[in-house]
Amino acid sequence: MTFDDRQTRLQDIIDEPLNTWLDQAVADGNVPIGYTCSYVPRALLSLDGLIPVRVRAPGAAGTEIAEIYLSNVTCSYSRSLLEFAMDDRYDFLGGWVFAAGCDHIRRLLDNLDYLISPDFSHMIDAPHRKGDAALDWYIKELDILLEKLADHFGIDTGEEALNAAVINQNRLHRSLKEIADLRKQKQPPISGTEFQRIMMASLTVPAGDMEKALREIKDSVARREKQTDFRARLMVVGGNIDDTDFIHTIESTGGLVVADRFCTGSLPGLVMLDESNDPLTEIAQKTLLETSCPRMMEDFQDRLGSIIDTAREYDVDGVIVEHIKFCDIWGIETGLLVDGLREAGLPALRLERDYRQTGEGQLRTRIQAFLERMNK
Amino acid sequence: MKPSLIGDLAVYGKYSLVNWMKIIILVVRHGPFDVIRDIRRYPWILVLLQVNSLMWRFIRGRTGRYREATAVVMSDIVSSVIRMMEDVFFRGNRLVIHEDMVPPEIMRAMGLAPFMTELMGILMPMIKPHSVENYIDASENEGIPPDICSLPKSTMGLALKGHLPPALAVVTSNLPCDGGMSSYMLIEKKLKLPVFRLDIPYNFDTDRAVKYFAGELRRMIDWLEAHTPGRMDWERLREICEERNKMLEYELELWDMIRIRPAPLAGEPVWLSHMWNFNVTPGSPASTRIYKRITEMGRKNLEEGVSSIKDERYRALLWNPPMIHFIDIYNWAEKTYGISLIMDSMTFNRIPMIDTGTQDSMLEGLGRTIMAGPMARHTRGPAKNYLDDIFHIHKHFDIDMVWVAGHIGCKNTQALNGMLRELCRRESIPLLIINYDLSDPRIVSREGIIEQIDHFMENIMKAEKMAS
Amino acid sequence: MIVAGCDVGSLTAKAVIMEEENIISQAVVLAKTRPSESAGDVMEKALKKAGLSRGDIRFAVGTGYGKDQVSFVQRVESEISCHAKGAWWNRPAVRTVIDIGGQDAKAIQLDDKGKVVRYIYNDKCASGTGRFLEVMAEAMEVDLEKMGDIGKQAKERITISNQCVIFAETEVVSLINEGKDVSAIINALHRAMAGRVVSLARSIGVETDVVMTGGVAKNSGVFDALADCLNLPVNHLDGIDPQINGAVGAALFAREYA
Repeated sequence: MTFDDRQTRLQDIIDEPLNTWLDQAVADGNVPIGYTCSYVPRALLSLDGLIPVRVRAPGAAGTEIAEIYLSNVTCSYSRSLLEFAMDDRYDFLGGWVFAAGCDHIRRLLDNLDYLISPDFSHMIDAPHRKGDAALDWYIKELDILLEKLADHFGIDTGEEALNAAVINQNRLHRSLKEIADLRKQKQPPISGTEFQRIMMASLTVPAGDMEKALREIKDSVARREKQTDFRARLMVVGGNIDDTDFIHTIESTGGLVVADRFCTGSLPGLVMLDESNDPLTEIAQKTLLETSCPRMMEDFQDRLGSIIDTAREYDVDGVIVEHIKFCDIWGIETGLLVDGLREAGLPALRLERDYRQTGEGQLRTRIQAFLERMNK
Repeated sequence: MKPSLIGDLAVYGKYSLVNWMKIIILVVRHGPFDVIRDIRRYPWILVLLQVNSLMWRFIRGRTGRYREATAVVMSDIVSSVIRMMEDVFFRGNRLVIHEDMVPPEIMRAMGLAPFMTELMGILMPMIKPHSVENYIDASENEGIPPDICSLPKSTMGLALKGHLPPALAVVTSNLPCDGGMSSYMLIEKKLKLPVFRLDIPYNFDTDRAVKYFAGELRRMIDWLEAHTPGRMDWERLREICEERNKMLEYELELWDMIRIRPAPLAGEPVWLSHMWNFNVTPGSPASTRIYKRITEMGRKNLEEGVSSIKDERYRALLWNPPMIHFIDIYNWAEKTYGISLIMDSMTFNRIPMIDTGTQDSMLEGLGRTIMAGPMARHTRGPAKNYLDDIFHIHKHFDIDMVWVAGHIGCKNTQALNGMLRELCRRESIPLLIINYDLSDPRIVSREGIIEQIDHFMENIMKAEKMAS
Repeated sequence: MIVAGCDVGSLTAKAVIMEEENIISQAVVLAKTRPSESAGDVMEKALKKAGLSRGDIRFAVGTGYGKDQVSFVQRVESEISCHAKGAWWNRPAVRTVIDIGGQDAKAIQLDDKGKVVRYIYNDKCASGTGRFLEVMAEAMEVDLEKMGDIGKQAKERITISNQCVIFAETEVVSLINEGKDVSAIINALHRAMAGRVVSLARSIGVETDVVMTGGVAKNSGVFDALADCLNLPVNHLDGIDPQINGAVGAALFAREYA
């Protein structure tokens, strides 16, 4: 399959919550588990026939039903998920695992439990800081999750199974990183939209299917023409961006997104786990210490520093910091990040958006003006 | 002149005089020129000086011990604000700025002077409804999205305008919500002070969580000892906790009394006394004395068969933080519809007394007062906490209707309104969700709030207004 | 016995004169700045149509946002009660009234005796009110009254965000630039608006029979979209202009108090 054909196929895959690969896996007896936050370690949801599925609402339109419960001043991601859930679009999930990531997502679980009573739902009480006590707490929380998974799904959560999950995740991340790293090139062979499509597929399909696709992509991408038709190299920083349309809107103005530092992006998302370490401790450590989310209340300076470092590593011309309207954490963080980036000499644009793809014209205008300001 | 107005003026006269005396003593101690300088530095002092107008709005039209108890609570608040100003003027070398959900008992036991940042954002609009608008605007102009809760916006605005007193350090937490937690990133940037943050678990009702948070409090003590001259005096902490326990005993007695219909006391003697004395000055003997006095007045009313208001037609529960820019709403509701505010979510709790046996038990007890305390348990915890409490209070306090102060900036609670409506329908509990903004009367004015209540009382409760 | 009801809204004022069980006259005028003037004007118009004078009216009740400024009424009632009363008198099987006016929208639930059980209203945000349609009609340069018919001709189904009128307007401009058919856009707007109102209504629970009142009920596009969104049959008032329902309710109250 050519690279472009594979892209079309991947787009079809990610356009449905229950895609064909997942559907086949379910038919084969596997159990997809939905999760909504980066503080839910995927490795733990990959044990013994479970498949981690980052829950999305592709093509979400109105959220009229969800607003009755979640109100219209909550994040449109959480509302869109509830809308889809009320429309039975997630009936294929065997369960939901949340992390106490933010107020809106927590309330989503409250409302899901009330309205749908999923067979299995669990909230990981993720700490808001690092430090030894917080890490111990988090390890215990993950332990509790494993017990519940074992109890409910009858799966093997022993050390051998965990080690295997670590190895498998590393393998997948390694393959993804090989493609992600191509974007450091001056003229990468792959656009941000194309890469985002690959990332989203990797978060929503069985790992085996993804690895097979990645092998083909790696072969076909080597034969691709370099991207030359762009005005500026951009980094996007933000939260849950799971729709390729947003990246596409940015790139339609002539900016090339080379660095994707958001929850569903490759930075720092494709963390490699130390296979010689105790698996649960290693998973907890890497997740808590490296996920880099503004919910971690002590780490603003670290986050800013790491964004600046990444920007230099990827030789970006400017940074777009996005947030979904009504998000409290990102709402406050964005302004501070943009100020900090500008002080460090990096042009930065703050972009407020809706989870659903609307107001494309307005977004394009802002991004075009940003590129013009950079003289690009 | 009507007898009730004469009585109002007499009580007002007595207590406003007392309040002014306290203020004048502070002015004299600090020095008039220094006071003028500090008024320029902290313009909110001018707002606080108008506190007697708030007292008037609370007491007018009330009678007897209810009126007196209201004035007593206000006068106590004046005293304690004066002590806070003394800390700012005279104890700047011990001043620690802290967020509203950090236990001040610990800082007091360490010989530090705690200054609660959010207090200004709460107290100012109570006294003068429009007084924090410029702080809210300052935050929004700095790039804070307008949908962020107006209390963190006011607090950030105070920091941005340089209206917070110089301090040694800042102590905050991840309570009560994301907006509150994140606002300290901006405050930290602006104040350039060392900041400590307490991490409070989501599932706080387990032994594990209690121990974790006690560990956090120890970490806070160590940090404060490293960054300030404060030193933990565990005996002092014991005294403070025991004093707090005494105050709680009086409060529990008061709550027992107000279960009776009609209630011997209601309104400010119940909610404002709690808000101030349990959050700002817990463990102070003055606070315990106030509670003792209020409880005695309540007891006397009960013995004599006197109710707080002459015609208690309806008993209400207010859910969510009170409407601070229309804080005399309960006085208005009493006069307009005979509604008595019996209980509210910022007051009610089921936290046990603090076990002062050991250091750990004290820290665990204090931890519980925060984690399982009002607002925190509701905003930070699962919906169950929110809903169970409402239905328990409804039964326990013989409530006729639930009013939810539906602050538009509180997404946590907005996201439970749908569930709450359905469950109240199921239980046939009349529910009014008032749409407004906590601190910003430009969003929904006092008249706009009244209109919503009028609609509800007329259409759902089929109530007639009281003859004026 | 002749009674009157006067509904003074912010965009229009309505008056209804009833004799026993019959509406003998009705009038609608555009509101002036002063509610007292609007009330006076609309009342005069209704009286003139019936060939009556003020003295013939035994009792008058006022409702609507400007009700407290109407001097000639003997009593005022909330618009919620009046809309409920008017709809129930017309159609006793009604249990949910969805009223979309020029500047507000409300949903009212009644019991089998026509008493208000619960209600919810939006009078703060233009989205989900007649104002939404006005702004869109202007943006697309079509006649507000013709929007219902034009929308029915749509061949394509588009979705428009309904969070905010201003955003929706920008979306409409983009869609026009993309060459989308005006009828499809209008159809999408009707559905966006209906979705907003249904969300409001569902928060208090919707039970049949459902009746739609208010000026926007005359827009068949919104009317149909509402039924579609609710997935329930929606009814018009029987033989009565939906815009005067509030005034009818006020007149019925007047009959009780007289």
